[in-house]
Amino acid sequence: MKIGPIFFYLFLQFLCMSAMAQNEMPFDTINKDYRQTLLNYYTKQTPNAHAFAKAIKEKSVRKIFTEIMVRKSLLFTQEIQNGKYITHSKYTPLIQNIFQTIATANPQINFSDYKLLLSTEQYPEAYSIENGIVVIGLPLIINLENQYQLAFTMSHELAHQILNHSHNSMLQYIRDSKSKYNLGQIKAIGKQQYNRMGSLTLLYRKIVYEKAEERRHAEQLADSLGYVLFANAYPGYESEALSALKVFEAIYKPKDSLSLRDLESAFSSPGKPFNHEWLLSDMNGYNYREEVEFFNADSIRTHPDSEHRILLLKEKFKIEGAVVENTSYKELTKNANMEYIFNLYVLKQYGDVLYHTILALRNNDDSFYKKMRYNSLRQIQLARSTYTLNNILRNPGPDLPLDYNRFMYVIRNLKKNELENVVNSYKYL
Amino acid sequence: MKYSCVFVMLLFTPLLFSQAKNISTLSLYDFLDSRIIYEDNGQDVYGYFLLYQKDQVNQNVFDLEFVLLDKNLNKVASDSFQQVRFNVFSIRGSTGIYYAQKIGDKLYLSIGEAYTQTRGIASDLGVISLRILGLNDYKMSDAFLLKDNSSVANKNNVIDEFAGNYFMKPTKNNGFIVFDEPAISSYRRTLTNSMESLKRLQRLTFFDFNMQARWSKDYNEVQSDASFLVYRYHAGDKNDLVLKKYKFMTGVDKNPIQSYEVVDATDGATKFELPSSKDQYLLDVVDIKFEIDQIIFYAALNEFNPDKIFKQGSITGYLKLVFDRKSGKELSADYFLWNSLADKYKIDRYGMIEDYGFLHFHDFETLKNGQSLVVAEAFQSRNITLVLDLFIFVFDEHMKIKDFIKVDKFKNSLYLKNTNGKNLAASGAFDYLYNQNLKGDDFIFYYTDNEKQLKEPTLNSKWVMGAITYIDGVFGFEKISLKGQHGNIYPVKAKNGYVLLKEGSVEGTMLRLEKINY
Repeated sequence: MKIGPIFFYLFLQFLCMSAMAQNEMPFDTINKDYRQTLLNYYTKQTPNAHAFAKAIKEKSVRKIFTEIMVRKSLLFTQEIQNGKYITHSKYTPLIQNIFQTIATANPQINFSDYKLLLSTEQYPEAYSIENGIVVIGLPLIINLENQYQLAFTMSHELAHQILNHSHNSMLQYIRDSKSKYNLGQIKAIGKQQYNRMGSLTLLYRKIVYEKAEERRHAEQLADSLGYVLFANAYPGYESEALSALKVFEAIYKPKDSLSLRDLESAFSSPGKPFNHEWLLSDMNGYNYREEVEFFNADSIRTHPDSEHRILLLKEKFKIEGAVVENTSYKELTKNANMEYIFNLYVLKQYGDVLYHTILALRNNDDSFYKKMRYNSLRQIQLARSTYTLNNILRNPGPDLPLDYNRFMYVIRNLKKNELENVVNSYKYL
Repeated sequence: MKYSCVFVMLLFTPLLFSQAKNISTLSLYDFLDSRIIYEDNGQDVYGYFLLYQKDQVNQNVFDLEFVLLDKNLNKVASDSFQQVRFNVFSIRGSTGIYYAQKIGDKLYLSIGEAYTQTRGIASDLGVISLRILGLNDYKMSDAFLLKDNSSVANKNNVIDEFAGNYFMKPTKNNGFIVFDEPAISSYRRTLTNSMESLKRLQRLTFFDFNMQARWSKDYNEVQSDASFLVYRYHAGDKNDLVLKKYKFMTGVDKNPIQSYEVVDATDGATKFELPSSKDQYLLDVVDIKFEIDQIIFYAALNEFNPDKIFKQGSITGYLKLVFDRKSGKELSADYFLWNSLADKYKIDRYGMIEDYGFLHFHDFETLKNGQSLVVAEAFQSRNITLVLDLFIFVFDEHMKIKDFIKVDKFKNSLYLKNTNGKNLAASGAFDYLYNQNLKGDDFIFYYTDNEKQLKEPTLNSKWVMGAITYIDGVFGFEKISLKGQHGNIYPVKAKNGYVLLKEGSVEGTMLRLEKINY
């Protein structure tokens, strides 16, 4: 039996127990009952997808649609079994409460076929998938400023469900691939003696642009319907829809960075000072060219940019209103940083765990962070010895922030005994 | 592939610009070939050059796409260019990369244009065209050919492949050696194996990468002599070239006298010559090291015989011969004979260890203190051949054994009879792969091993990659399993201290860069 996974789950248990005693977090990732409940729910929902498939008239399209749905179902059930979907003592009731408020305020719509799930994610995301499932990522919740922004986000994703975008777009893709026009185009290209790939890629580009346009249109519809659902549920807070979109604009930008001093402090151990040779980078000497635009970036955006979305909503719905200060949400998300780091740990992104932990330890010496630091270092040490470091730590790259690249070089440049010294210096058990 | 399948695949395939570790997402087009690009000094990997076929423009012209990755597998650039692919006797030519060398901010490439330019011919005779890729603007030049001592751009016209062209043999001093023999003649000679036609060669010329002739060396001036010389480029660096010289007594001489001539890379002047024998030994040079002030030859030894025929199965030891680069003066000659191991093994004068086998020396590395690190691999060859364990020797500056380690491996058997180490190495039968010099005198030596018992079925293969580290004078050992979830994992050369692992998965071929855990 492998030690690694046992160690991982034991640590999660330990952390849950000790954390619950201290900080009212984190979330439960090993709740087998919850997973079973989800699996049961999902199994009950699949007849809806079958009914949708059955209604497709074209036999070949129906066949492909069903195959894709089966594959997606398998993936989803695997995700359930892997513990991706979680319950949280604060966020789960919050989400359910908001969902209930939206449903009550919009009685003309039957919300009973929809379910909202909280998930561990590497990035702040929310999305809508088949079988009425809306997924809200934990990092998104903790990056928003108040529950109204969360409510608008949920409304937007619920709007996708109501408009059946997921099934319809998949259906449209399949129909397009089988359309007489497209097949005719492909056949004509096949008959060309020369420049076939050129013609095919032009056709491909045209179709991708069209699809992207359709997606953008779908997003606009979801914004509109989502706004209506939200405004009905939270009158007086309409402007928070626009605030949410503003938050999305900046949500992926890093809020902090590791300084050289942080690295020196984190990777020194008693009697063994930081070695600046660990910072040596091998990314100099390349003239990285910005990707030659096979696609025009604007043409393939699936979401209009936030500014555009805000403008459209303002124009359509004449939204006004002041910024809402919400101290109760801030109180709710006071452990956001810890939760985010724990979320990354569950996702086995130990490199990112260590990165964010070092940042956190700058101003906070909570034992949670210290434990995370030690355990992520141990996992990195283990990954290096089993030649799986790439699975938990990215490779340096020109598109990554300078401080992150520097951090990755330190981890990779440490010799085995040097890493061991660092790990041992943080041992807490 | 049916275009409709391609179409559906394209719709559901991740877009090109994701950070690529999936080799199939690097380009939409058909993969042709790839090359590791080394740094200018040849000591480390700079990156990877991949070639794809984009489209056929007309009967002979193709749109190709190149993708350049950095040493961390990040995409540096990609772009398209056109290439003539020449048909001979209605046989479609293949396109491959026959040469790639980075010098400064340029990448010099030879991309194969004809079926005749197989890798074997390219490595023996050279290449027939050259392209230059700027590493600042990523503009690919036209393909240049060498005709009548000057370069000619081949601008997508159909060419008579060999009419007036010459093979260009790349050297380490940023240029080519070109013999005064048209490519078609060189090519015919390799097919007929005729040595006599070599007599007509009288000049070799060195061209720089701008295709300018810099110097020439004349030989075989007296054509009426029965004997003649043949030169081949053997090794070199920026400052000196080593030419292997063969003296044929007649056109049918099967055992020409071999020696090595060291010439100045800037003007072709001969600095010194290493003969085929020294003292009471015949020499077969196995490695040459270019140090700042010295050139070091490592040569296998045979007891001298009047026919001067070197027998690979009768190696009595090795010689380290050091020359001063400037003066060409021999500075030292130090011998290692097998009986130096007599205190550790029962070994005969030809290196046969009793109840075990022979040692084949693979790589020689010189350390800053004058010591040498040598990787050897044992083998036994009678009715079948067994590949045995690895050894690493540390020799002092006088080729006396200072230390050695034996790395146990599982025995691997081959259906080869009574063969020798050189043949085994040439056929890729050994497990030793290559080494990396990290910095200073730190090295990693890589090998593969099938960790299954000899008589187990082939299906039970358990391939691993071994890495023997020599860090701060201390040996260490690492093993990486080459068995993945979806099949085998293939190791590829990567930047120093790392290995690139190529693995199949449901998404396609995945590349993963892993650091050796030393």
